[in-house]
Amino acid sequence: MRPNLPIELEVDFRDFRNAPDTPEEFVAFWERLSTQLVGKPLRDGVTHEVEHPRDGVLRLTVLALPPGQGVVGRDTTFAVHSVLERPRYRHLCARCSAAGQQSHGAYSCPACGGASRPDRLCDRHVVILNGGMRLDGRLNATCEEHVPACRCGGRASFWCAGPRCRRASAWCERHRRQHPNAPDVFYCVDCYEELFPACAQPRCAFTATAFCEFVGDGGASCGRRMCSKHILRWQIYGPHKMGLGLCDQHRQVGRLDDDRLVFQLVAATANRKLRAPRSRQDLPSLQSVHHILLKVRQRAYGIPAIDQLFVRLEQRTGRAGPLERAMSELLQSHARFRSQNVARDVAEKQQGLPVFERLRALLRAKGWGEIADAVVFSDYKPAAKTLYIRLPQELRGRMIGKGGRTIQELGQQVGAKINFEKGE
Amino acid sequence: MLTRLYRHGPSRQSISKGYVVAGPAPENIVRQVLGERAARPGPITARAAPHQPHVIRLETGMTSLHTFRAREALFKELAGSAAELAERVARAGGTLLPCAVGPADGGPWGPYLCDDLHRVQTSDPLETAAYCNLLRLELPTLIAASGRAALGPRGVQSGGSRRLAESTQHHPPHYLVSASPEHLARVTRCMQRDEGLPRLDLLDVYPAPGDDGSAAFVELRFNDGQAVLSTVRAQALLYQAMFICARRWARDEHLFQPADHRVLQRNRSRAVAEGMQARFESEKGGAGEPDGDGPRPGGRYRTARSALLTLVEKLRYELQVLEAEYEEVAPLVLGATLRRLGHAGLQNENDLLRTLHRQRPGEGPTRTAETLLRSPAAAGDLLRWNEQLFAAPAAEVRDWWEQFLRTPVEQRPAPDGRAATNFNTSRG
Repeated sequence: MRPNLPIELEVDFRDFRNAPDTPEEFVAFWERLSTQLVGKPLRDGVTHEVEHPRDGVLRLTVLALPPGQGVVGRDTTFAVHSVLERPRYRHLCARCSAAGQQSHGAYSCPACGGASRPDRLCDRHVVILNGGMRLDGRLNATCEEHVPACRCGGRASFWCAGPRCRRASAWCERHRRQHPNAPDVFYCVDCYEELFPACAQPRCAFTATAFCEFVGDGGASCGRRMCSKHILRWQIYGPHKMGLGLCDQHRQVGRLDDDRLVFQLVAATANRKLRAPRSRQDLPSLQSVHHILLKVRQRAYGIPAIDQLFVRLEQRTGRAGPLERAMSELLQSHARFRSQNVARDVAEKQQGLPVFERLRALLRAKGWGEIADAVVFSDYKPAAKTLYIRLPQELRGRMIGKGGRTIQELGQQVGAKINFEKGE
Repeated sequence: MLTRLYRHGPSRQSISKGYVVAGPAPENIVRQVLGERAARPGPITARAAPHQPHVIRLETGMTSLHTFRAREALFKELAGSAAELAERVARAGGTLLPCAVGPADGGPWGPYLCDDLHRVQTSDPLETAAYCNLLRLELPTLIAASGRAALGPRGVQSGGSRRLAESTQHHPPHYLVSASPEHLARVTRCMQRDEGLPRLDLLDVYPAPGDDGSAAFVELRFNDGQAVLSTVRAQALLYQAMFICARRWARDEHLFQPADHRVLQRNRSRAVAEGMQARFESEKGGAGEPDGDGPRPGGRYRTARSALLTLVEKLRYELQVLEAEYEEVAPLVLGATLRRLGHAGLQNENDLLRTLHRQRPGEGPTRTAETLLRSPAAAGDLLRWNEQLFAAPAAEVRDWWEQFLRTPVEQRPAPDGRAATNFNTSRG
């Protein structure tokens, strides 16, 4: 005999009041219902509605209908595989409850009710200001009455995402500044100024990304914020490192005397050290300072003379404030490298003197005794095989020759490129 | 008369089984095959995958997988349709492959990747939120179990999921306080602002909206395309059991704890990179749950295997509601339990394909994968291979799990400690 397979159902009580709650109640309910179903046709996969005059609508969805059981009989068996019920909300919206309605209070207002059991709110009654939600589930939710106030007393409209507020302070529309590129990220005025300061150049609309590092007499940096277009980078650390930022008022470094110029190099570097103690920012070598001065003054300084400028500054610098202490430490650690720089300079000059003498001899052999007497050795760079000489302007033309041919030939003969020292 | 009554029961679920079509001009082959009239009438329909012209999907439509019998019928249909589809693709000059089976080394894997999309219907926003949050909590474990590493001529590459490793369209989901349309809109805005993600459907777990904007079903996007249908069935069963668990908790308005998003991201990355070999970081930084290998010296990590077994063990009540048989859950638990006992059990399809490749060294990856699709009985699945390789311990494991699934669970108290109101009285 074929077993009597049950009709498999899903029962939906979501629109039915007084739904059974315990197993006993459900079994009793089903006994009553199954007698009403006798003679009713059921179709596989179809949802059948049973209307009750008092309690509403009960829906029965047939999940599986055994063959030959299209109509419910007295001996038909049922298997209920799922019961859909309205969720039992433990947290009801306080506002809806006050209005005699029931809705899920998914959010809580910390200012309502007690601190241990704050009032719950539904989607309709919750206020979550812009920036009040984080993706890890944390929410800054309130009810309409407890929307946080701005410092000015007005109703807040957003939580500031800036570095000072960190979404802990809410601000009103008047204090709202939009992120320059993200239309839905807002900051308060202070955080915005910190993150996106305006360029100090008049009529410049760009964000300042640099500041002036010129050190004034009091030892403080100028600090004017400027955009990358308007800041001048004084490349004292070489072409591959970030040079000192100088604003339009302090970029005329040529106006400074030698001592003040060297002071700027050391003081600005010391300030960088103070701002970032782990940085490896060091003072430039004497050879680099030679190049810096050459660019600024348009004349070449001897390495010993430059060293003396640093020695004088070291003698003048005390240990009164943090800047002076940092400068002093920087100059002390630099002293060893300076003496190496001086020694290197002497050695290079020694290597250059025979080259220079060969040049002089060549000039005399050419019958240019006047030039040979006037030419003076300035510097020699063995790595680049370049000889720097000083010669009065009026004699240079003859030595250069047409299209620089003569000086090139001389260079090939002495075995080094010949350059005139700048500023002579 | 009432023979069975499950208060917290399953919901409708659809499976969209993805297959890759390989061959010259796979788009044309897909078009040709889908243009033909299917010889096999039934509930399964073959469709093209949007934005993936080389993929064919076998769609079950929303169906109830509430009993062993219902699942058996559906998967029999699915197996028939898959075999027929493989024949049609072969006739059109192509090869039907599961995800991440590449005939050659060195090329891009994009044209060889596809997923198995599971969709689970939800009946209210609270249920949706609870289910999404539960899936989020267990996401690394689920990815480790379902991830498919690439199978090339040199065998199965190391890694968990080749598809998720390459994808820019899959991101870890966020905790949902609610799944109401208003809150989902807020989450979308927040995602756009904080992560630059403009849509919810880029998340691994996507609460898909219905006509009124509230979530109508939850789409599980993280699941790689599996090679063997018994694994798909085990995964479908697991996701449905998790849904029942979420439904049970949602009825009492519990939405699960919000896991730390950074920890989740790290664990997800571990699962994608290492699969079942991954070790997951415990959120609190305290002692992790002791696993079969004993507590770790640091105590902060637990293995993917331990996490998977713990998850399935926690779902005993739900598996009983689904009237699950051992054969159905074996692809998930047998290999992991064997490993726990010290045997080199095959834990997932990566291990299975690795073994098949070793057993048939002269056979290319395409041929190996084709055998799995066209004659699954001959190729065998995780259960068969594990029972063949480790006969005695596998028999013990079977006994233990059969006993586990048969033993009735006591009515659990509601999460807030109130007396249980569930009734689960099997009278038939």
